[in-house]
Amino acid sequence: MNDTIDRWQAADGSWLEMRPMRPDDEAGVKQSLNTLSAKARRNRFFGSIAEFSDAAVRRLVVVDLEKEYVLVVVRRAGEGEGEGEGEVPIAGGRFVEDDEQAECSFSLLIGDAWQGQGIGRRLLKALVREASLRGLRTMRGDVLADNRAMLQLARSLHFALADGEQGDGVVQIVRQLPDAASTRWRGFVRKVLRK
Amino acid sequence: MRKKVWLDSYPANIPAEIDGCPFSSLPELIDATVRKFADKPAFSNLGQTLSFAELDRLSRDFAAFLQGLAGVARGDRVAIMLPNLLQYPVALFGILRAGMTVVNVNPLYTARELRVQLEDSGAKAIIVVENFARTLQEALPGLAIEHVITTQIGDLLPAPKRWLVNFVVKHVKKMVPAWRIDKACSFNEALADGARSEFASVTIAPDDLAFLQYTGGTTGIAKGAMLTHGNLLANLEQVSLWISASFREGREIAIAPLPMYHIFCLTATLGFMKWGSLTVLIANPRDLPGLVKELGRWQFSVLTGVNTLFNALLNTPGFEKLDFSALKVVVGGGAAVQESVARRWQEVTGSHLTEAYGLTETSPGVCCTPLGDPWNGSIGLPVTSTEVSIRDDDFRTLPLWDGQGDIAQHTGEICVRGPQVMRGYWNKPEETAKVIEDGWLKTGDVGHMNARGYITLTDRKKDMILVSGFNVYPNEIENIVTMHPGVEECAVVGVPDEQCGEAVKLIIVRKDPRLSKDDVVKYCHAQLTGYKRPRHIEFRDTLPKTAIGKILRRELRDAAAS
Ligand SMILES: CC(C)(COP(=O)(O)OP(=O)(O)OC[C@H]1O[C@@H](n2cnc3c(N)ncnc32)[C@H](O)[C@@H]1OP(=O)(O)O)[C@@H](O)C(=O)NCCC(=O)NCCS
Repeated sequence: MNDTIDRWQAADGSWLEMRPMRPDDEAGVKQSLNTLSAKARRNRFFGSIAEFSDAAVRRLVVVDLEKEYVLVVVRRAGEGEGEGEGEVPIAGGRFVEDDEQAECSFSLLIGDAWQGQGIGRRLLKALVREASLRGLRTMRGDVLADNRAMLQLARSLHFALADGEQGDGVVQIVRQLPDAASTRWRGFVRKVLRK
Repeated sequence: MRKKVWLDSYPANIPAEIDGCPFSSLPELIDATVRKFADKPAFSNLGQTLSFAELDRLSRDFAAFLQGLAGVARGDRVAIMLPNLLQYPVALFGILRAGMTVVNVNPLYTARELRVQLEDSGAKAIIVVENFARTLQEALPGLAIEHVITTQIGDLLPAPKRWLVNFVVKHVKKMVPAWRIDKACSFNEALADGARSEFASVTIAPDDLAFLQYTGGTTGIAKGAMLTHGNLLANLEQVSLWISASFREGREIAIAPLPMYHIFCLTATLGFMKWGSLTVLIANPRDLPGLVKELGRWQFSVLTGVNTLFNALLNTPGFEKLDFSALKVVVGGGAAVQESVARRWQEVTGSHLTEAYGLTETSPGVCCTPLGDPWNGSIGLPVTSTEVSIRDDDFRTLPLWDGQGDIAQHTGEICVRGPQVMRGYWNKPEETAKVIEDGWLKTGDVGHMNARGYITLTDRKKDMILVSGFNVYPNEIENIVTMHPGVEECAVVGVPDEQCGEAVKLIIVRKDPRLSKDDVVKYCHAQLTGYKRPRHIEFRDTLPKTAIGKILRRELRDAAAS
């Protein structure tokens, strides 16, 4: 598969791969979502979800490529298991473009066992890059006020608290995006340096 | 270090710093107080009054009993699950004098809630009023509790009245659900046993733990704030300096309508006790006519409460006719006092409502409005020996609000430093690290400070609902509700409420279409204590969500409010 965006080795030695979500990820995503802790669910969806139904999973997996960008991080299961089938989704990130303005809002979700290993940071950077390449100017995110991990991560990637009260325990973070040309240039430099 | 601007606004009689504490532990304070005021009345409840000398003897007996228990040692946790009865101060002081740590438990907790606290604290013994023994029985299996002491409501009343009250509670009003706990021993047996044994007084250092005071953590896990003897001694001094200018030793009568397990009532009561005051314990403040009647019996000079209670009292017939001539100090805590309530209070009672701000984690007092200040929407000034700093998200100090420019640039998280700040959360170093940085406690409350040091709360940053001064965490309720097999998805928001300030609203998407409101009410009743239970329940086919799939909490609230 050549839609891979990033590939690296996790702390436990397994190989992780970041790529756009595909419709055939549905079964894996459903299983991963249903093993999430209550806390992770709430931080992502802002309420409590007993079980993700097929319909709910489909809404997350089937992507409107025009205005959505959805990434998934999968773990490659050990040798002996076939290609593709051996993939377990362990994290995801997405943004949705606003209909009117050159804006988008993002969200992240990292499986409980995989948090704190830099996966959220990689995903958010990839989202920022893609949004910038699409010519979007602003990226926003709604975050529960108690979600210090997300706020900390966003701050380190130049997000700031937006003005205006969201209330009900929700805050909004926002950042301006670099213009497409400079993102392209940076991508080029990175590639050259890697060689 | 920035100048402590609030000091310039201090009333002349209030010092900037508390100058050392004559005691190194609460038992030392208790010893000195009971000796000094021996024949004065200490606590009154249900028509019976204990003198300081009696309190001394009974709490010593209870301490001696605890010391004699197998498997319970100094430093161990002992839980109290009682409403405001005379047994409360006896047990409280007994535990402290025995060098053990008090775990206060809301007696109205459900078995599930109780279990969480007992498990986390590792309490070895508990004293419970019989009316709630059934709940304890259900929570008990598998816990470390080795000793259960049960008490009947009338246990500390003189003989004929004791029998009568206990009989009526049990057999006439049938307020005691059947229970059976094998190892239980009765409170009066415990006291008799203690009276026969020797009490060994213990030396306690200011840094030793006095209380594990639980707060429903924002993550839904109960977190026990470790409050030391030093924390409590400091705070009762800080707060009492602030409000007691007009107190006379051994002459004041304080009314305690809030439950003793609430940190505000606990510290206030200890503070008044230090003055040799009489504290009148109100067992059931919900019975407003009863409360008004009780108030009518006393020339009370001090009253503590929360906005909801003041408001309810103002609306109770007969209250306005009470004799308020002795009333000197009224303190409202737990939640913001509303302007209309403060104004009517002044009109009706002729006394001023002082507002206090604090948290469990700060034992609790942090700020107080100067006595006599008219209501101005602020929570007042940092109390003696307390620093407050408004910080941005990068923990940088924000400039004071001078009334010019953009107030958002001056608004940030209220951080507190002082001798009343807890040591941390029991067995939860990670949670502690989240809230304590460089000795500063991050309160999670948001506000600004003006050039005179007055602090105003703006919005809460926390995901929390404030019901009559009690914190309710939506995630706890949501988690419980989704465990019901008929629920697919749910969200909990706070909606404005005339009586309680805010009320809990629960919105459910059903998995089982037969699930009824009644089922939900019953389920919540079994799982959640009163103030946490949803006041409003609504079923919807779907919850409103943003394009990215996040529930629109604000929309739920607004829809509910309209
Ligand atoms: C919040 C979340 C996205 C973070 O992703 P992650 O992969 O765990 O985080 P990373 O390992 O990439 O950490 C990145 C930075 O976040 C911060 N961070 C991560 N975990 C943290 C924690 N537990 N507490 C405080 N900060 C934390 C740190 O600043 C970290 O930088 P550092 O490693 O240089 O110190 C992830 O935990 C998650 O999915 N949680 C559940 C769902 C959710 O909250 N979604 C957000 C809704 S938009």
